[in-house]
Amino acid sequence: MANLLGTLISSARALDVFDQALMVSQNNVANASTPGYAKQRLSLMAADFDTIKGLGGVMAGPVQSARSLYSEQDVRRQVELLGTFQQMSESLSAVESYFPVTGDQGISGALNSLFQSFSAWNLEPNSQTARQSIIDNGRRLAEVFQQTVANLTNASIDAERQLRQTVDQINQMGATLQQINGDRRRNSQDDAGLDTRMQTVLEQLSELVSFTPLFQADGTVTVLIGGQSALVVGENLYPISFSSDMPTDPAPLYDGAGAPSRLFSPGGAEITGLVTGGRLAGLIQVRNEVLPSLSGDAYHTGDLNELAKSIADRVNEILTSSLMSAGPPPVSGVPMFAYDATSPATVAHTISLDAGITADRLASISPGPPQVINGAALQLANLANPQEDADKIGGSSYVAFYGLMSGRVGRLLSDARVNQDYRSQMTVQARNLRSQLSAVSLDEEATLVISFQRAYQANSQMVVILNELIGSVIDMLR
Amino acid sequence: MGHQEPERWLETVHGAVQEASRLLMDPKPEALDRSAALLEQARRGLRRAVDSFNLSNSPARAGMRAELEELRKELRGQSLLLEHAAGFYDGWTRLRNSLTGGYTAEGEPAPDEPGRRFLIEA
Repeated sequence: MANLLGTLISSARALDVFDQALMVSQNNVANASTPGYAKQRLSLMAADFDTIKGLGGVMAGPVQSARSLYSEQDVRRQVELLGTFQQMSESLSAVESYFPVTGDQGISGALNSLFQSFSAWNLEPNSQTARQSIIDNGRRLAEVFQQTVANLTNASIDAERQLRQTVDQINQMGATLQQINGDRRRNSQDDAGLDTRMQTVLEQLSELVSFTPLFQADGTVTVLIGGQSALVVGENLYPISFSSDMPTDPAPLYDGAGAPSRLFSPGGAEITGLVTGGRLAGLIQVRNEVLPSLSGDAYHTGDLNELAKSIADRVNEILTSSLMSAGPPPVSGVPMFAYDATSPATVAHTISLDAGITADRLASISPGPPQVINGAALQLANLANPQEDADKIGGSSYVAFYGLMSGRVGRLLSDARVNQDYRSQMTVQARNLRSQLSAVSLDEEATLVISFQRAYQANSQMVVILNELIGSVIDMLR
Repeated sequence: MGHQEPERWLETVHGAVQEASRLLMDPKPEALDRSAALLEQARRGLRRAVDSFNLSNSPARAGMRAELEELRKELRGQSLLLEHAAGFYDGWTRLRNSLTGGYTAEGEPAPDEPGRRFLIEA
């Protein structure tokens, strides 16, 4: 009788275990299309078997997740790189449009027009039309320099706005992870829903910033930005912050120019250098490196400023060392361009026509001896195809220097776009590899359900038979 | 041979490389086998394209520059996909070997031993 009851208990327990296994499988099927979900299995364990007492059977073990942290990490890495190149591609698209290299647009067009005016003046040094053309084109070049710098400044402001938004998003995701950590501590660590939410948020976070997740024994995750600075530890959030205030260390090199954007931990430690991936890294690179290399900031003179200064200085030098009138008495020339000389990082922003220059006051006569009536005009015309080092900047003509600058922007954008395409494909591949390891297979679940149903039916049949046997025994005992 | 010839071969190469890339997005063993066959097909096609290219006149060569550049990008993309998939499986194998066989004296995961069975108890 004890054996019969033991077998009945064992069979009833098996029914319960199969019921749980079917529920786990049903949950897998229900979440087959849920992003980030990893299939689960109820582990089954054999109970101690005793022929005398008649116990044994099956026991439910823990629910195990098929999630592969290895493949999750691979997906996050690809998403992080994709985020960086996507951001750079988006930010640099606008910047590239400010550097046209064909036609009469932008600095290139204005520079060519000015050089053509110099050539025309060289042929007709006394032509009022040629002289006025120089004044008009000189003014246009100065305006285009200013406009280009203004566009780059706007791009910088826009990057700063996006940086601020991205930092806010990162902190919001940190707060979500903080909440999930609390829920996992208080509830079951086997909760597939919480696990899915955690992994989904981590994947979204990887698009924004590079970080290292450390999965703890209590089911929580610790998130370290750049592998070092804590964003989330258990139920504590350490929000990062953003500043574009001028740093004191290192001291700024140039006055009047913008400051780089920097990121800080709650303790005030600068963590900008820790961010090597995600959209945040792309934004920092554009905001702190690409744009300052063009328009300058407190630590970079900027190629545009160097170009503007070099052109203005050389044109002024030629004109002021020449004569407007041979005299007597001879009248020296006046400069054509003016700019704020207090900071080399703001020249392109402040360059303009000198207040004293007019078409009549352009000095075309080189003093010699012998005096040459179009000597200065010839020198200026030669700036288009310079032979002398004094007419070059960094060994290149002014036009070539500008071409190198715009080519650099174009190359950065092209590389970002190509890499974005590659990383986009690799992200899809990484997600597919992850699916191979942890996604729900409906075929597999169907097979599993059928096998559990059969076991369930067999056990039910056993329970019925055992009930009958026990009933018969009880009847016999009466 | 006319200048159409290298272009036609390049189209074949282009098609094979694109199909191989598509298969590599989900790099299961059967997809890798099929990709290898497609790449072999692309290699043969490219060889024919190079032969035709050397015989074609210069205007045709200039016209093919953009197409060749596009092909170069696609091949680079495919190479990255293969490297990534190989790196993933290699890392997975190393992880499994370190979990099942520990580490060698040099600190490397234990070498793979075919037929080894293991049980992990949590």
